[in-house]
Amino acid sequence: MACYLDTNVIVTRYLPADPNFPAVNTFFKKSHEAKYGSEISVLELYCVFSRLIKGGAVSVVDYASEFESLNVDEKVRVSVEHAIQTWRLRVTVPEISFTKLQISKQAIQMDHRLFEAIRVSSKLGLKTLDTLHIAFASTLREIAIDLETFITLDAEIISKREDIESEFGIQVASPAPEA
Amino acid sequence: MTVIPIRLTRKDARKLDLLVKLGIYQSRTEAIRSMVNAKADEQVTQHLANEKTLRVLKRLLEYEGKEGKNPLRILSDKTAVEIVAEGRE
Repeated sequence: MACYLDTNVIVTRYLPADPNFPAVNTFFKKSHEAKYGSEISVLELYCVFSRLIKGGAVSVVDYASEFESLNVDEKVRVSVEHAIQTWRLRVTVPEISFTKLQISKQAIQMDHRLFEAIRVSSKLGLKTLDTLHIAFASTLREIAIDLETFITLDAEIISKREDIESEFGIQVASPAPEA
Repeated sequence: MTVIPIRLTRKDARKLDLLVKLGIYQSRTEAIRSMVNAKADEQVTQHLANEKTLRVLKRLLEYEGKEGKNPLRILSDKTAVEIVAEGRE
């Protein structure tokens, strides 16, 4: 069965000191299921690597030392590309439709995925990007029918797994035993 | 639609007119619009993935293939959950 990867799972592979690294690395090596992401995943990877690279917190092995001669933009681009390629992340965008949200005497045409996130925001009470990832993952199922699981290490999201499953029909799981 | 006044050399304008005369496009506007459409994505891709970045990426992937280890490492005391969550606050 296919899964949607939260960004924290993708990034853990770059942090050998992270307590979740062994579990994520095993998941990375042994799981052959299709792995999905969204435009939000790409944006978030760009932002995460940008912050880390600007802070001098990314190192590379000697074999690819030419990495150090790249400018920040190029380093970020290469890191994101590396993450997406090695995880074999499928970034797929469903056909977007718009739903009218009537608010404050305005009729706002919302991307249906954003509307889904708004619809469940009060029930889940999660952060904006957490909610967006889950809404995007669930709407991806229109085109990836075998996508059944949202894989994350975020304890707050995991604590809402029952609500997420009942609202979106997508299971929440962690690659680590006690995340 | 947005109206953008552009200056073209006589030579380029003649090329556009030829495309219209040949019936490839209905008008100069359609010709320009179609060429912008076709070229813009290609140029963005080329700009983002230059020869040097592709070479470095290839080295990274080669290392991973040979050694089975990630050649990139984040140097931080924080966990990935904490690093990603910082951007979600």
